[in-house]
Amino acid sequence: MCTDTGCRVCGSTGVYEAFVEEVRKARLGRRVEVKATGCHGYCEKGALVVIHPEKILYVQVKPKDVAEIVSKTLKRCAVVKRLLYKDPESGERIVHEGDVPFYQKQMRVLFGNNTRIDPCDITDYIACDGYQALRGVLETMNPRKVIETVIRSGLRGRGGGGFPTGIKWRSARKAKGERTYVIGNADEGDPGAFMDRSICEGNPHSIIEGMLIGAYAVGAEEGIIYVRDEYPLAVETLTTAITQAYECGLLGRRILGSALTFDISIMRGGGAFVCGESTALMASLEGKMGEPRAKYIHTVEKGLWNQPTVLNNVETWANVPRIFLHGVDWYTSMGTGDVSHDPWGGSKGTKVFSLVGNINNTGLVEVPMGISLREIIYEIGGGIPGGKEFKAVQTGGPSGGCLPESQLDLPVDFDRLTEAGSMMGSGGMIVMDEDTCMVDVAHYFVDFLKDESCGKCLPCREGLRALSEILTRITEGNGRSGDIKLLQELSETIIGTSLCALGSTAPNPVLSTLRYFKKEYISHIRDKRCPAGVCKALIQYRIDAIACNGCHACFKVCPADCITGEAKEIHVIDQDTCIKCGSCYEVCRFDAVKR
Amino acid sequence: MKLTIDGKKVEAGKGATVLEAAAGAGIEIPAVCAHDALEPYGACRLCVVEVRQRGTSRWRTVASCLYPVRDGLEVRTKTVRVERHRRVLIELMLARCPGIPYVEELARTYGVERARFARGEDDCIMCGMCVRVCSEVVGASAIGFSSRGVDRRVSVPFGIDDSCCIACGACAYICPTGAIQMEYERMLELRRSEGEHRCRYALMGLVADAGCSFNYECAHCEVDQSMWERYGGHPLLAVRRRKCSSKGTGPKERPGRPTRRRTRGRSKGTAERRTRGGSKGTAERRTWGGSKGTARRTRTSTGSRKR
Repeated sequence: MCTDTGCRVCGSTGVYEAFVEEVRKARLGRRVEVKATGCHGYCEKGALVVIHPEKILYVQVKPKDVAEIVSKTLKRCAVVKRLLYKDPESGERIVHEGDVPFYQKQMRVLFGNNTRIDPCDITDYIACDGYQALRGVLETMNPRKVIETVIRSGLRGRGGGGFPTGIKWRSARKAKGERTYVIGNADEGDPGAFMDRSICEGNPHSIIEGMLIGAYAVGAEEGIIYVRDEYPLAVETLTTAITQAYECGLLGRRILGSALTFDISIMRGGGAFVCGESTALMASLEGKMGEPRAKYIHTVEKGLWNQPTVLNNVETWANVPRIFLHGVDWYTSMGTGDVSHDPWGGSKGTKVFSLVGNINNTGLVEVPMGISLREIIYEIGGGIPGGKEFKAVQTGGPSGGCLPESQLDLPVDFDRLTEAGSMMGSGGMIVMDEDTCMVDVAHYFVDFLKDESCGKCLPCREGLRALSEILTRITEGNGRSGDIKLLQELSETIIGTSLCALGSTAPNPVLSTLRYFKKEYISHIRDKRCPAGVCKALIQYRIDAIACNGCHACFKVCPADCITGEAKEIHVIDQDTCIKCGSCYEVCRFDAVKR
Repeated sequence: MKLTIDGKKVEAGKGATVLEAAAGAGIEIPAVCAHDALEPYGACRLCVVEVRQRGTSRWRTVASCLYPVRDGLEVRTKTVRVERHRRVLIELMLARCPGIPYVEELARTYGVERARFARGEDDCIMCGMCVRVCSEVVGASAIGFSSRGVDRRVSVPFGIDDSCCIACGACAYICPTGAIQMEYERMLELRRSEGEHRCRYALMGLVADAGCSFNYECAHCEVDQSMWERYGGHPLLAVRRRKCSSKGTGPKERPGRPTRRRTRGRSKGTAERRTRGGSKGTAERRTWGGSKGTARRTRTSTGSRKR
């Protein structure tokens, strides 16, 4: 059963304890193993329980359901119907995990083992072919061949940049330095994204194995995993995993009898978003202020302590063992483009996205590159809740762009998303329905980035402040006629002159919403109207005298006491005292409150 | 290394930056946060230029103060795009620091009439030269940045600990806008303090260890006068600059720490950034101990250097 952070919030710890207790009571201890695993992905339906080997999936399990599961399923092989997943369209109950639409379209290369592995037990990982890739590499390949294999696989950085991993390794191998460092980046700060956390919490050994192969390829002896301190469970599982790897001789000196020596330590980030940027991360590791520096001399040549450094996202590292385990041909069979001659030629393998926002199935999805946004949102995600219309999807975290309905058939890969004005980023995917104001969304993300900018360079610090000011003005109904042009001009300078990727991608939400939702900006500025009814300064709630039947419901919920009217009489909202909270709008069953 | 800047053929040493190469060829690129006694930093971004590497077709916008020269590199310093970026950047600076003569002058030079963005009331442009001179040249690291983003400030550690400051005045000297000043009230306190006073040039490691017999009225002290006359500017910066130029434009190394810098526990006044209307209430700009001579030198020399 899943005991990752998401399911823990849904009470999975209690469910786990109940299972242990019930299995003990039923004297099934010898035949049944209760296993606390990492994230299964379907966080919407937590706490999740999967019964192997049949893979019966129970969703939204509570501790009180456990006794029934044990007595029915474990003892008598019968399913507990009410806990099965119910298809929202047909109303049919689905028994097996693989038949649930959420899992059907996914290709769970990195997350597939999560349902079988206890992250705090190295033997589980080894039982799932763990460290086999490392053994194969150490026994049959020289470092050059390892690098060539990674280049041929077309693996590109999963942290956002999409730089070919093999090319990075090759440059690091060539670079001159006293020692080479290998870093795993798990400083995941995007709002609504939790892929890296789930890998660290669910399958930490895959990261360690990837880093070991990388270290062998580039000739490094020291590795660091940089985790944000807000992920206490990830820090805990990683620490346990590293300790166990040392105990098994998979870290330290003469690993698996080879000449490879490699140590990994964990560093915890201090909570700055910008420290996910490679040079800022390295400055932070050196004990300096977390500020980026220019990368005209790449970090593979002069990175941590001015030494050659290979920094990859933990998701990238977790991909590495899979490539060596199943082969390059298998890996390149997934994804888009042709990477046999040029690693930039396409996007291969799978990508984990955290699907959040106005979507039925919130959770982590792992899909092959090249799948369309429509498939992710409608087939895996189950569409928009409440029968509402889809409006936009934002990919790539706070500095990604918002793509409209017309772009839904876009295949998801590094280059196509960039062409459309968004980006792959680290894999956040926020779905927005018709009740979302795109100006407000742009404002929210610019504000987030303004607060998270390190403030070192002028365009990012002052430019984002100015962008935020203009957007605030527009959402408050004080937009001016030249504002759209000003936003564009300012964005161009911020993109062109910022020191690091935080600044040079920060205007993306503004530019993409201007590109696809310009009408909304115009109605905010010219007509002083917010079409989605979100911007408080631009909306007014009033009661339609014909539709109102005086049910008095709005009167009761109004927190500002601004609605007057007796029961069975027409009610009136006092516009001067109305705080525009929308409570009356939500509570009215007769559509009498108009916006 | 042979490169072309605005069509002019230029030669530069390996490891030099485009900004240095351009300066060597007499081509002017504006740069607010660059100083030849300091390591390149890349904060103001005014020095952006377009570059194209040999064998590629794409023009990239880069910061010339950090971009290393390469053989066959083509550089354009005055294209429409670059000029537009510069004007927007100056506009942003002007919005942050309105009424600061240095920024206004810069705006006039580049044809920026007014800022279209909300006006702030800061007098610090965050070029970071004070912080860098303190750590790189003086070696005291008495001031640094605190907070991040729009809240970024120059301050002493935790806003309270000034014991590392040796009162050399280099930060106030190098500040282009006059935002950083020597704290006057503290100096008065120190003058009144008991015990032996040590010459601050001894603390900077520039003269043999000596006592101060003028009670920190440096304007009346011949050591102070001779130092400024000898070096024609702040002595510490002049020493460092000489070191730089003797190396030519070769690869930069971190300077060795000055020999005698830190006087922990013997606070000799402190440098602190002040915004207008700040709690200390000294809008008036003063430098070391109210010494008029130093104050005058500070303004004229920085002004002329920057223009």
